[in-house]
Parts: sequence; C-alpha cells; structure tokens
Amino acid sequence: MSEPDEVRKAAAGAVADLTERNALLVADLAAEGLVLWDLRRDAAGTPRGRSRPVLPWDELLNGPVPPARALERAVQTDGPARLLLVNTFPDGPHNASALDALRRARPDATALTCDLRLGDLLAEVIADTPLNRWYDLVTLQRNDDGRLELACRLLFPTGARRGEKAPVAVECEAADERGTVFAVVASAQERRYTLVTRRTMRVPPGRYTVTAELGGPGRVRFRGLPAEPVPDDRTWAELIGAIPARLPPPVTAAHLVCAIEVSGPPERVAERLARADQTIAHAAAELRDRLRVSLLAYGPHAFERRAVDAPVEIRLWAGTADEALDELENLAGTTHPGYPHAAALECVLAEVAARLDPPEPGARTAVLAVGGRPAFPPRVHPSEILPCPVRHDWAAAVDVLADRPGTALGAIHDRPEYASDVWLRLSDGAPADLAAVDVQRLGASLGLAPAAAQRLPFPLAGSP
Amino acid sequence: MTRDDAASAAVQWALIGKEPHGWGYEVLECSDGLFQREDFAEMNQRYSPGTPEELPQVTVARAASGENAHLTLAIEEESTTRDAGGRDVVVTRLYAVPYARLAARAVSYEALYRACAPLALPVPGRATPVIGLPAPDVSPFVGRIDDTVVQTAALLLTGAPVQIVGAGGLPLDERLRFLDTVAAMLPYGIRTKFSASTWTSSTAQHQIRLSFTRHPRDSAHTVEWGRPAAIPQQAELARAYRQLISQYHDAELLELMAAETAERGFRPPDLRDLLAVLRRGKGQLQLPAALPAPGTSTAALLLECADALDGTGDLEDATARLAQATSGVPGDADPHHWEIISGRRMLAPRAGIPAKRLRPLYKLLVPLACGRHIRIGQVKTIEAVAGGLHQPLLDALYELRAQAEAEAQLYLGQRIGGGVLRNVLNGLGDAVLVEVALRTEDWTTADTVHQALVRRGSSGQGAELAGALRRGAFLAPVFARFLDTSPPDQRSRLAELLRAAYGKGPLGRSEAEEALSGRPDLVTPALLGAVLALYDGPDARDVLVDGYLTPLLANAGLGEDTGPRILARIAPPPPAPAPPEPATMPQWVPGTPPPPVPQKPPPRPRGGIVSRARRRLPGGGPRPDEGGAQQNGPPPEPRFSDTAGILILFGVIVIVIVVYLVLLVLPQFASP
Amino acid sequence: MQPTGRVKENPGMEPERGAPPAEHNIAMWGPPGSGKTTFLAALTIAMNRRQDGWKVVGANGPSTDALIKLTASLATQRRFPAATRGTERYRWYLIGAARERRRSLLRRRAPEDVRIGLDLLDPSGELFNQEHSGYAGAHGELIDNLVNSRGIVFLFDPVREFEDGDAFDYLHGVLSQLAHRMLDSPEFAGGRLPHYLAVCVTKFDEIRVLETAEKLRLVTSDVADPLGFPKVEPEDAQELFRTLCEVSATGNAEMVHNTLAQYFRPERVRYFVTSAIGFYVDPLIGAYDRDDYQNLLPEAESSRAVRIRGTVHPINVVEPLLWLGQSLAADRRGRSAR
Repeated sequence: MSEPDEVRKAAAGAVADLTERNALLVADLAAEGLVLWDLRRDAAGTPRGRSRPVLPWDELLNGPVPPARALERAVQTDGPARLLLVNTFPDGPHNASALDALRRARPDATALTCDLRLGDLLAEVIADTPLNRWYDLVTLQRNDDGRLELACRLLFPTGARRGEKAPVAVECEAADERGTVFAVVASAQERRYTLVTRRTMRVPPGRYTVTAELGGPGRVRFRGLPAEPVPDDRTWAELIGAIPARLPPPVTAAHLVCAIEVSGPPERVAERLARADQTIAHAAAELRDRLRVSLLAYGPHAFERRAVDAPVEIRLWAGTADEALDELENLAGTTHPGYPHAAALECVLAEVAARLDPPEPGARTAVLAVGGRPAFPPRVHPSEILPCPVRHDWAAAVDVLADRPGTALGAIHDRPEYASDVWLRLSDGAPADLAAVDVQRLGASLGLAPAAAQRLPFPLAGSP
Repeated sequence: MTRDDAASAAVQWALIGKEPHGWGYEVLECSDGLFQREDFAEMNQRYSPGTPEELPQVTVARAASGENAHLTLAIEEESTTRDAGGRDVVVTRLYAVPYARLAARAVSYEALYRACAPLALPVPGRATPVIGLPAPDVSPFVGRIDDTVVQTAALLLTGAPVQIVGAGGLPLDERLRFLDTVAAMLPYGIRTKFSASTWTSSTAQHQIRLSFTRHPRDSAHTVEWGRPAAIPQQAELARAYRQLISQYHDAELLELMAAETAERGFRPPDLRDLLAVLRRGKGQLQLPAALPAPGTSTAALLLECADALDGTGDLEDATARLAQATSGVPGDADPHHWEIISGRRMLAPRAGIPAKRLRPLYKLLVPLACGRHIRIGQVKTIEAVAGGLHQPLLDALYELRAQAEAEAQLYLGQRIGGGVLRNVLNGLGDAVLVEVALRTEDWTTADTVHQALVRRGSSGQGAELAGALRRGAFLAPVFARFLDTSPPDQRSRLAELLRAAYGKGPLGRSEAEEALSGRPDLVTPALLGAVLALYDGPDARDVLVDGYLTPLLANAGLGEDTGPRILARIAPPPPAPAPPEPATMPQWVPGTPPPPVPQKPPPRPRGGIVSRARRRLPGGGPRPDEGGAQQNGPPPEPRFSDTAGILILFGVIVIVIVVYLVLLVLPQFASP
Repeated sequence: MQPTGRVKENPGMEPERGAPPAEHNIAMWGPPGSGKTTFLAALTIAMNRRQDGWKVVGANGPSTDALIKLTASLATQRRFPAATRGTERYRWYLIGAARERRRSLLRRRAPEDVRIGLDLLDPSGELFNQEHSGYAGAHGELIDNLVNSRGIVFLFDPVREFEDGDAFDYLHGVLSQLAHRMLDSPEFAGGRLPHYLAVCVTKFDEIRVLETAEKLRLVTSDVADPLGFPKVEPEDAQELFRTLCEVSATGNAEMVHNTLAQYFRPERVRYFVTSAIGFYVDPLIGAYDRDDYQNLLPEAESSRAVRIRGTVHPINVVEPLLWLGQSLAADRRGRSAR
C-alpha cells in the first residue's frame, strides 16, 4: 500500500521523463477492470493523456486467452514506453493477482497500490509539470517600409509552472469579423515553433496590456481584453495567409464628401439617402473621431424662365458623422424638380474640387456620389441633354479630384447597367448598385476602412 | 326573332389612336366582323370633325347602306399618351351598330351614346359585344322642341350643312341632346345619310351635316344658339316643312317621324316625299310643284291638271306647267280644251283642295275655255258646268274681269256682291249699262242696271244719262219684257229713269220728244204713258206726234213716197209762237225730208277710267262717238284709247332717252 | 425727282387694280409630325421678327381665329400645336408695306398695300400615306385639293428620316395619283406638274441636322443677323437636302430627291433650310451660342412631351410662302395677259 504522495511523485517523475518518443502508460487496476492511460508529449511539448477503453476483468481473466497473456497484451504499446501500474482497488479479487502478473510480465514497470482517483491525480500531475519549452505570443511586426512579419513575444520560459503571469502590450488593429487571434506557440532550442493554443477574440482596435496566465502546459489564458473568446475554425495556414503584405499607414483623418441626387421618384431618393446613411455609419464605426463628413444634395438645373437655378445645396461641410446622419434625416422627402433627364453632378464635382483644402499627409478624402441621372454636358451634346448653364465640365472636375493625393472617388448608381460616362469615371467602370451595396467594400475602396486585405489576424506587438 | 334579340344589337368597334411614340393616327384595334380595319379608317376619316379644341366630343354618322347599313358613334377623348413628337394623342372610340335594329326601336342618338360609351376598348379577342336597346319612347323629346330645333330641322332640308354657333359653353350632353332632338324631327330613315357632331373645327373641310362650331361658314346655314334664324326665301321645301309641322302636336310628329324608317336622304325627291308624308298625316293630298317639262301640249297639260284635280299627280306642279305653257296670254278658245275642261269637270268645286290652289288653275282654265274675251254666255255656261259659281271660281273670274264683257262683269259683281258690284258698276259707263240691260236675259241684271242708273241720275252724274237712255228707250223694252204682267211697274220704273235723266221736275217738250224719239221702235205703251204723265205741257198730242209718231213712221221704211205723204198728213198746224225751249233736234220743216237720224259710227263701248274721266272733262256732252249699242251685235272688243296710249308711249320714250343720256354722262363725272 | 417706287425684284407684288386680291392655293405636304401645322403657326412670329412691314391677316373669322390660336400656342404657351385631324383650310393674306407709287399729274392715288392671298391647305399627315389612309374618299379629296393648288410646301424631316426612314412612303403614292389626275391638263407640259414646289428641310435647330450641315461645311453665319444664327445659303440648301436623303434609315430617301426632280419643273422648285422654332437665344446673351442652342425642353421624365425652351425665332418660314405667293401671282398675271 502506497501513499498518494508516492503515487504522485512516481507519476510526476514519470511524466517529467516523458519525451515525444517515450510514452508513459499508466495502468489503473480499478474495480471494474483495467483502465489504461497513454501519456505522451505532443509536438509542442505539452503532455497529453489519452485513455483507452476499460478492459473488464471478466474479459481479461475469463476469456479465451489465458489471463497472463491477456494482461500482457493489454499493456503493450507501439513504441517504447514506461509502465506505471497502480492498483486503485486493492480489495478487488483480481487486482492483486493482475498486478502480480503484470509485474512479472513487465519487471521494469513501477507498481503501486493506492486507493485513489488516478485520473484526477494524473491531470494534476500534468498540470503541474513545468514547461519544457518557451511559450511565445504570435504577433505581427511592421517594418519601416510597411511590410508585416510574424514575430513572437515571449510569454513564459522553460520551466515556468502553472500560475505564472506575464503581461504583454499589444496593439490590435481592425480584424475581420472573427476577431483577432491570440496564438501561443512553443519554441525549443531549434527555434521551431509549434502552436500550443490559440484564442480568437473580437477586440476593437486599440492598445491593450494583456496578462497571459499559464494554467499548465498547453493552457494559457489572456486577461485584460474586453472580449470573450469565440470559436474560430480557421486553419493555421489560413491565418497565415490572411496576413496582408503591407500595413498602410494609419489614417489620421478622413473626409467623406457625400453627394446625393434628390430628383426623381421619392422612393428612389429615400433609398439613396438610406445608402448614404449606411456608408456614413460604417465609416464612422471604423474611424470614429477621425472622420469628417460633408453632405451635398443636388438636383437638375431649371431651364424655365424666371426659375431660380440652384441645383446644388451644401447641407453640411466637414461636420461630424452624427451631424451628417441628422442632416440625412432632414433631407428625407425633399425633391428638386426641373429638367427630367439629367442632374447637376458636374456642378457638384466642380464645387467639391473648389472647396477641398489642400491635402494633408495621412488624411484621406473620399468623394462619393449617389444618384442615377447623367450629368449636364459642358456644351451641346449628341445625347441632346441641355448643357450646364454655367458650362461646368465634369470630366475636368473629375480629373482634378483624381489627381489630388489621398483622394478616392466612388459612386452608387441606381442602375449600373445604364450608368453614363460620369458614373463610370467616378467608379472606375463599376459603380455600386443601389439595390445591393457592399458597404464595407465600398468603404474600403474609398479608403475609409481597411479592406479585408488589410485586416490583421494577429495583434501587433505594441511598444513595451 | 325573339324579343330579346330585338332589344339588343352587336356592336362593331374600332380604337383609333397612335402607337406609343408613333407618329400618325391609325386604327390600333378593331373588332372582327363585317368591317375591316380599312373600313373603320374610312369611317373615321370621312366624318372627321377636324382638330378638336376641347374634349370629349361625340360624332354620329353612318356606314354602309342597304342591308348592311349601320349607324356609327365616335367618341373623341383625351389620353395620357404622347406621340413621338411629344404631342398629346386624341383617342377615338368608334362604334357601329346595325341600322335595322336601331330603326325597329327608334333608338335615339343619346340612348346609343349611353349604351356605347361605357364599353371599354379594345375588347379582348376582338369580340363584338352586345348592347341593350331601350324601348321606343319619344316623350323625352316632347319638351325639348323649341324654335331653334324647328328652324334647324327645316334648314337641314335644304340639303346644305347647318352649323350652330354661340353655344360654346354648353356641356356635351346638352349638345348631343339638341342634335338628337333635331334628328327626331326628321324621319328616322334619314339617319342612314345623316351625320352630326357636337363640335367641328371651323377651318376644317368636313362633311358633317349638323354640328356646333365657333364660326359660321359660307357654304353652310348658320343658326345662332337661342336666336333662331329665318329660313331663306328660296328654301321652299324648308318653308313648306315648317308650315306643315305646325299643324301637328309635338308627340304626334315625333311618333310619325320615328315610324318612317325607310332609308332616305336629303335630295329633293326624298324631301318632297317627306312633305307628302306630313300631308298624308293630316289628310292632304297635294305635292309641291316641279318644274314644267318643255314642249308639252296644252291639252296634255290640261289633262294632267284634270288628273291632279282628281287626286293623282301634283296640282301645283301641273298648274305651274300649264301656266308656263299658256304663258298667261289668252289665245283663242280651243273647243278641244273646253271639252276637256267640261268633260273632266275641272271647274267643279273640289273639296279637298284649298281655294288658293284652285284659283290659279281656274285663272288658267277660264281663258282656255272662253278665249280672249269672256262673255256672259260663257260665264253662264261655266256656271252650269261647274255646278254653280263657287268661291274660287268667282275669285278667278273676278280677277279675269278685264277680259270679261260688261254683262259678265255685272253678273259676277252681282254674284260677289257688295263693294265688288259697286266697283264693277263704277267701271261701266251709262251707255254700256243701257246696252247690257237691253241685252240681258237676267232680270236681276236689268234691275241692277236700273238701280244704278237711277242712282246716277240722283247723284248728279246723269249728264249723259239722258242721251244713253234715249238711245235705249229708257229701258222700256226691258221692263216690258220682264214686267209684262205689271204695266204699272213698268211705268213707274220708266218714270224713275225719266226723272233720273231729266231731273225732278216735269218734262219739257223737247225732253219728252227726245225721250220718245230716241228709239221710237222700242217705245212701249208704258213709256208713252210715263212720258205723257210727266209732261204737263198743253200740247201733249203734238209731243206724241212729233216725238214719237213722226220718227216712228219715218224710220219705219214705209216707202219713199208713202212716207212723206203720211208724214204730211199728220203735220202739225201752223206753228204758234215758237216755244222757248231750245230744240236739240233739228226742226222738222214740212215738206222737206226729215233729217236723217245721224248714223252712228260703230260704237265703242266705254268701260273704265278713261271714259269716266272724259265725262268729267269740261264740255263733256254727248259725243258723237258715244252711242247706244247696235242691235244685239257681238260685244265690242275692249281697246285702249289711242290718245292715251300715245301719250304714255311718248312719256316712256322721253324717260328712256333721259336715262340713257344720264348714264352716258355719268361715268365721266364719276372717274376721278 | 424721287426714284420710282416700282420694286423690280418683286414682280408679283403689284395688286390687280380693281379686283380683290385672288387667293393662291398652297398645300402643305409632309408625313405626320414633320411640322406642317407648326410651320404655319410660326408664320406670324416670323413676320413679326422681320420687321419689314409684312404681316399676316386672316381672311375670314375661322381663319383669323386659327391664326391667333396657332400663334399663341407657340409664342405664349410654348407648345407645339395639336396634331391635325382631317384637313384644315386657312385663308390668310400676306400684306406688305405700302409702296410709294409714281406720282403722275393726272391721277394721284394713295399708296396701296400689297396683298398676297393664301388659301392654305393643312392636311393631317396620315392622308399622305396611301396604305394607311384607308379612306379613298379622304384621299381623293386630298388629290382634288392638290390638283386645285398651284403651290406646295413640301416638308422633309431629317430627324424622322434618321429614325423611321419613311419619307418616300408619304410622297410617291400621292404624287403618282396627282400626276395621273393632271395628265390631261394642258398645264402638264413636258411630263411635269405645273406646281411650284418649296422643298423645306425642317428642324434645322436639331443637333443632328446642324452638325450634318456643319460637317458638310454648308453653314455660314450672316453678319447682318443680330442674333448670329448659322444659316445655309439658298444655293447650298439643295446640297444639304441631298446629303440628308442619303443618310436615311431605310435608304429610300434618295428616291425622294429623285422623285421630286422627276415630277416638278426645275425652275419651279426651290430649296430652303427651315426651322419653325429656331435656335435658343439666352436672354442674357441675346445671340446664338454655339455651346447651347437647343430650343426644346423635355417636360417630364417618362413621357416624350416637349416644350419650347426659349423664344421662337423662326428660320426661313416666310421665305417659302412669299416666294410661292409671288410666283403664283406672277404666273396668274402672265396667264391672264395671254
């Protein structure tokens, strides 16, 4: 009869000797039969145990095979393995004889008798095992030229035991909808990294000081993040593949100029306003305070005599996103009557080009037009649309805007298959369809929100 | 045919408009039946009322004829579509309904409109929908017939289009109702040739007979709304129509017209037929006149007139042609004509024919019967043949009195009586009257003459009366003839005449002699007695001998030697101191042959103004040319006085010369 | 002594003394939508703009009314007149300014105004297409009217020809019938009709037409014109017409030109390039702007309704009618002198 501590010590010693090659087979002669645990260290050096199915005594002793042979076969392993025999039910009729038989079969096995729960003991023993590798956090590092590389930040050295904590500062950029992956890898002397564990958390962009807590070999928990882990089924290769090559410089300020055509059927106008609303909201969610929004409402020119011709209305210039959203609500229901076949987009572009301040480094400007009608040409045109009374040329205005550094142009059109030249020019040939706008993609193309290609699956290493 | 069939009709339809963004009007859809697309296009264009100003407008017309006759209804409406040029498109819904069905129930245009208007076009499958037809009912129209309606209906009968102006503010319903009411006043059958529209363009060349419009056109009659126009003079049929329908009650007329469903148009024969229908409705027979055919003989025309009188044929027509043939100038009487006239009893009264038609005929017949001059005998014959001188005949004869002899005139005058008789008498001179009286065989005529002569004497007109009466022996034979049973009456009448001739007082010797010596052969005992009674001179015996016997014997022609011997035997004693009275007759000196009674030249009977005027002229006494009638000779011919004629002729020539000179000179002053 | 008032270059302008001015029958000819009624509606405005004393006056009530209504629709309401239905007939007088008469000692007369009476026939365009007109009677009436007329204003619509290409359909049927009818007439000499023909290429204000003319280098500008409108010289008008015939949608328009040459005497045909509404003139600029000259304004998004954008400055609307009137008057006087 041994003490539990003895068993523990034997087990701990056996576990400590575990290598990747050498396994440890723990045979638990329990009441109902023979329970076997197969303990190995995985690639990351984390000891793992796997239990085999229970072999009832009846089968073993009363089977066709002679008992000794059966027992011997039960404790066979594929490779070299130590054997630890523990009789946890000493009062059992067969246990002692089985133990003897097994000791005879495997004289090198350590045999103990103790009445305890061997499973729990083993788990504890494993958890208490000190690390035999270095545990690192996978991060991304940005080089000077913007390229991203995988890097590691040390969490726990070899020999660290359960309960140790390691703070680490990270900076989380925008991730995709699954979140940022906090992955722990183990590295041995050979500098081969093996994934130990990983957690995916939807962490809003920002800087965080995270505390990694070691809960045993293969178990690390991160605290200090305002999110809970979520399941993530991406493979490692996918994660690595999702790392963009480059990280663009961060957006310090963004200016979204939104021009909405308020002519035509009221339902159409309402839909346009809704899309603009979505776009602005999305951009605001991404950029928060860095975003400035300008709102222009435009209609057609009026060619009637004595009619006031003021097709472009600047409802908001460089205001906040909330102000813009409020102003959009105010716009609901307005409509500009006038010439039925075109709208004064050329005047809008000219106005915007004139009003924009010279570009600042790091600031992005996006000009988005939402509408359906073509623009008025600068002079008589085969399409028979009357020319703009002020003779604004939309092509020239688009050129000015496109050449401006840090400026992106985009368009949402009622029916892209009928879009006229100006819309194609604004959107590089493919305006977004009013009925089905991919707001994120649009935002990305406007430079207001990172594209999927610019989402970081791993946190950036923050400055310590 | 069941009752249900009669109360409904299949409607053929067409929808005329423009293809969306098309250019020209065309038949977009049409029903599949009797009419094809081209037929509908034709209907639409033929009765197009021109470019519309306001919409909607309704046009009713017709299509095809005979068995396939249809009435059409076209409704022009606005549509929201526009053509390739951006102009508004006017859509026309055209419905065609078989005429026979409509005629059977005398369906009005308004009822047709109400039945067709709700039918939306196109009908799927190009089917022909069926509409229900209301029962015949003219009552809605009764209250709507006013002057404008009547005038419009009458004007339509001239065959020219009629336009109503000044009704711009009227709503469509009322205009359609007006058209309907006008059409109801005409036979239902004219709807197969009729077209009407609630609005036509004033500048369009359209063929619609009746429409509302803004401006009158020259080639159409114009009726101002609310102010019915007059029917032009030459529109005889229209006037006739107007007069005829005034005899009908409204409902009666409408029923009559609704029953006339035979197809008819607006040509003159159709319209005369209409008038006949209207007359027949009131029991009249005549038809309006037609132009006379040239070259027909008078006898044939007479026969035609006779036929017309009997009821077959057109009396006015025949009369007019007869008038043309005879040219109003009476020629010599043709016994053949008289045969016809008397044989066919053309002068007899006809109950159904109004006097105003008979009179002109009689005026033609009488000269044909009597020749240039109407004599009393002929009048009597006519009277006998006609069974009495009924009023139209009298009137006709009176109008012809210029051609009648005096006695005939008197006869007529007596028949007509009153002022006419006075006129007649005034127109006849004393001598004529005396002559008439002597010849007449009617006591009334003689009596009338007697009365007239007496009146003349009493009213101071009797200057020549004595002479006239002398030559007529103071009508002694007349009285002797008629009053032979009562010599005292004769004597009293003779006395009246004597007084009329010679005044109230007793007769003088010469007067007495004169009275007797005028026509001694006609002197009767009554005259002798009257003269002697009135003569209160002592030598009545001498009067007798000188005045009566001697002329009597002298004119008896008793022989050349016998005569003077006889006369010498009764020569008076040597004369006493000459009587103071002047003798008008040359004194007879015994031994010398009596002065011959001056032979009268062929007498010209007086009649009329000229002789009366002459009588009034100063120095008018018995003229040598005025004399009594010859012995029952033929009535003298009436002739104008030569002098008067020459005067008038001279005057005319002078005037003509003056006018001619004036016209010659005038242009020279007229040009600037 | 003052120069004589006889203006030799307008031989047809002297009135016949004593007799009322006879009216010359002139018919408008063209497919639906080619602008026949609009042409007539622009007449008053065109005369008004010439400011040389000519005016047009109605001869009777309905014609005066129609004149007022048509002019108002263009000038005041800025719309095209409604599509003609049936056949409209207008009787108008063109009245010119009084000319000074030679004063003679013998007689002294007040200057008389010159009058040309016009009896204008404006049929609806559908009647010119034999296939679709359907009603032989209406067609026959049209031929009757054409036989009685001696002047024809033939409108060729290049825009419609680009799109539909059916100008020939609206010409040859009626023309053949007209020729057939006049075959026995003594005036049908040399196998040609006696009519005077004014061929008007319409809608000069449309972009495509002006650009075609510009490409052909037929457009000049008149220095005397205060508005600076582009114009096509009369000599070039025929060239433009021929070229426009060649670019028709169906290719049949070439036959139009040839047909006209076959049936009408060349000395009696004249070509004009016209526009009933003219080019747009910005009131602030007051002249033609080659960057913006369209004078039509679409009204609503879905329909093709158009309004006239600015003021109406008709081009060559008076000249064809005046030429026809004068030619017909001279012709008549020549005939009566014989």
